[in-house]
Amino acid sequence: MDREIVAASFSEARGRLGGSPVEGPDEDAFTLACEAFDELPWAAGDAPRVRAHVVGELPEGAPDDLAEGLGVPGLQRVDWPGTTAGLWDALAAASQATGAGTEAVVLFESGPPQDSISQRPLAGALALGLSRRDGIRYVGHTPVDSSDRNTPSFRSGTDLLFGDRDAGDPLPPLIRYLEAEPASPSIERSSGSSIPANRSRLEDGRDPGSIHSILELWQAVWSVDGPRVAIGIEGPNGSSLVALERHAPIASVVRRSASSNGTTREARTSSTRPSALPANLSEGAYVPRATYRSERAHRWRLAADRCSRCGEITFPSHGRCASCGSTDTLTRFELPRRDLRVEASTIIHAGAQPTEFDRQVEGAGPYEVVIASVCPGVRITLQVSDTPVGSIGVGDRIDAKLRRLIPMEGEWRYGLKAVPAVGQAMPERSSRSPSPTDDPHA
Amino acid sequence: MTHRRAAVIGAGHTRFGVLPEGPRSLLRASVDGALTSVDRGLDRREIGEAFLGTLGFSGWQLGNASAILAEEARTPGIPVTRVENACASSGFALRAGIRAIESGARDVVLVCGLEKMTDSPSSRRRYWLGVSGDTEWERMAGLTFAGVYGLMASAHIREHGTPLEALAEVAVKNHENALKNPNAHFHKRITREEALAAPLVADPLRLFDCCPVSDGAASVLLAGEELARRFTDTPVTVIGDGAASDTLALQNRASLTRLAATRRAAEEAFQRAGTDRNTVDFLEVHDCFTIAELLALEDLGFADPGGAAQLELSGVTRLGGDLPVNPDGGLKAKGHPIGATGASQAYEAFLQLRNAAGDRQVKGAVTALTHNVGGSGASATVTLFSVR
Repeated sequence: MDREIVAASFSEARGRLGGSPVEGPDEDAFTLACEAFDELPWAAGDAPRVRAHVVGELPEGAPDDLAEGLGVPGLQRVDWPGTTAGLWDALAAASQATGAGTEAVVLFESGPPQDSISQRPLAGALALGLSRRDGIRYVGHTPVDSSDRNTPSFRSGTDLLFGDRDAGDPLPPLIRYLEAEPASPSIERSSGSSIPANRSRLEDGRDPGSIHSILELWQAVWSVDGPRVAIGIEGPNGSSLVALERHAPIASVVRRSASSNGTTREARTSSTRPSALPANLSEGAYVPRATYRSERAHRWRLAADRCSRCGEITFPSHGRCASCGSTDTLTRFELPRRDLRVEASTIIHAGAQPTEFDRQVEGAGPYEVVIASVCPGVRITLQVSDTPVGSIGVGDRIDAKLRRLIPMEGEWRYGLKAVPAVGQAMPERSSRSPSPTDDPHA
Repeated sequence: MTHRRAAVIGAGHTRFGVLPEGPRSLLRASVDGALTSVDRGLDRREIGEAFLGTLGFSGWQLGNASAILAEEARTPGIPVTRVENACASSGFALRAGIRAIESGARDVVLVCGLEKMTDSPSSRRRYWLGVSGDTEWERMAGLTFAGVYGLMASAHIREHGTPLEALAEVAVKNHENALKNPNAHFHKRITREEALAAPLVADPLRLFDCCPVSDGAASVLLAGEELARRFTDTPVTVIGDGAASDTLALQNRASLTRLAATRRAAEEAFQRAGTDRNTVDFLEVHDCFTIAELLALEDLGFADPGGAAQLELSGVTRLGGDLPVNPDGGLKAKGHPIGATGASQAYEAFLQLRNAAGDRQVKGAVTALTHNVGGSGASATVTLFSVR
């Protein structure tokens, strides 16, 4: 049975921790992958079956981290040698998986390690949701070898339009998108590039869309300065169009170049190239690595327990009901991380920050901290990101996003930060449990 | 009241501020001061036990600091216990001393508070200033206590419309009182306008809303009430005390604008004393930030929720007002050597109730309340003293 792409989400580095070459933005490939994954609009009922495939080079220990970050137990790692082949393998595995439900593919930007501590270059991430749907055929499956790709060449400021190189049917949504755009994307064609050919293939090709174009696009995103990119995915019974917008200058850029023997290599330049984090940088309140790791589920995803005996919610999850002490009537679930109400706020000016935030204050100035209500009886304290300092006040709504917090013991500590709420509340998703759960407010 | 009560028979206090003396010198000076203050003298060998409240700021002798008190007090051999409850360390040390007397276990007890804070570099100070806060959420979000109290202030303003002028008034009043306290960190009069225009620290809190980082020590000598008149004709009796705790992190409390620990401690203290708030002549409250003095007045039951601002603005809390608050300048202007503050408040009660507070004397004061808070309200003590 085939699957179709039902959703795609893209995130890119745009955090505002910046200023210091050591810290850089508070987002990285890891947080971006988690965010992109969270943005997937899962169909109700599918989410409990989510299984993620990860494509990309991850640092040691990261697959475990990523499972915690995504909140999914099933995580397959696919080493991605910089070609689409690895992605294809992941997609193939996802589409051949048995059982109902939804699969996800999470792509990491990868490249030569440049941050000796995190091993996670600042980058972007793409999450694709794949859903089994009868009667809809998804993807051709010609693996694309790295040698058949050449250097994409884009003019600065060019919008990109990408489809599938082997696409068969026309892409009405893409065309409509083009026509509707006041500033119609121009496609820079350059001889020998695989990119310009895409559009004609989109118009007169034969196969439905495949994923590799998205990957290619995703890579190409990093080599253009334009504010907007469109991706089209087209099949005989459906299509989707993903428009991506750049929110801020990206922190690093991937340049793809072809060597003489045709193999593709990645070179990387970075506008805020992180340098090594000194191992002793974290003089300050100490969170031992083991403790930090043991608390990831509730620190990152607000994992809580609901007791079916007394109905109480225990946050953080301790495997024991805080109200009645029961241990065998608990259901793990995640408290909502979106559309949380701010109950108190303050702005930390220079001199009032803990030592471990010195570099941030020096580089980026004062920052805001809020207490937000998650549900009755549960509040969390979060630093604010992505918005001018002072723009969040009591009564405002925020979303809690996984971000870099501070370096400690030579590695990054991740946790939730507050960003302005974008819209509706996130549907509750069960955590590590196959059964849907009830509304935490109930 | 059938149980044995404790009475203060002596108290000593160093200057608070940026001092050249090291922690051992400060400790010795405050103990010697307390011994000297005992009207008919006290042989230090009569001290049966001692308690030391200190955070161990900057890491100076983090462990086993109690031995240093034994050395500097020159009371070799007696049991000494270090008590650490952040800013309420010596409030809880005092409580331990009171219990030791009340239980009959000891006849004379020494209670000390100490902190040496200004001799470490500013980055290390800021590291230590937050170590008593919640690490998991508050610290990792970039908060020290200024930030946590800034959050409380923002919620209080939202809930009650608290005017910033009331916060400024707390600072103006406490600076004014500190002018009359030779031990105070600051001897500087400020105006409400200056306070309102000072640089922001943790919005809405500004520079003059925050207590300073200070060095200092204070010591109190307690004796069983029936023995106290051996040492002085005017012992100051501890007529009641209470203590309570709350969650470490502000986010986990039922209210962001009430300190439940203060309320519980106050209820216990008044209940033990068998008296009510009308008998209290002045308050020493924990004003680490100006908003904290408003919260204290409300949680101690001297103002309704949201009502403390008006109390401050009306002048009731000034020296000469109906209910003077922090006649010694409070943490705000007297200074706040973290571990020393609870003992320092008891020192002020001892002075005031013996009519020995000089220019800042609360006229006719008979009963005093002291209030010491740990962190942003994770712990609190309330102690009632009287010479009635």
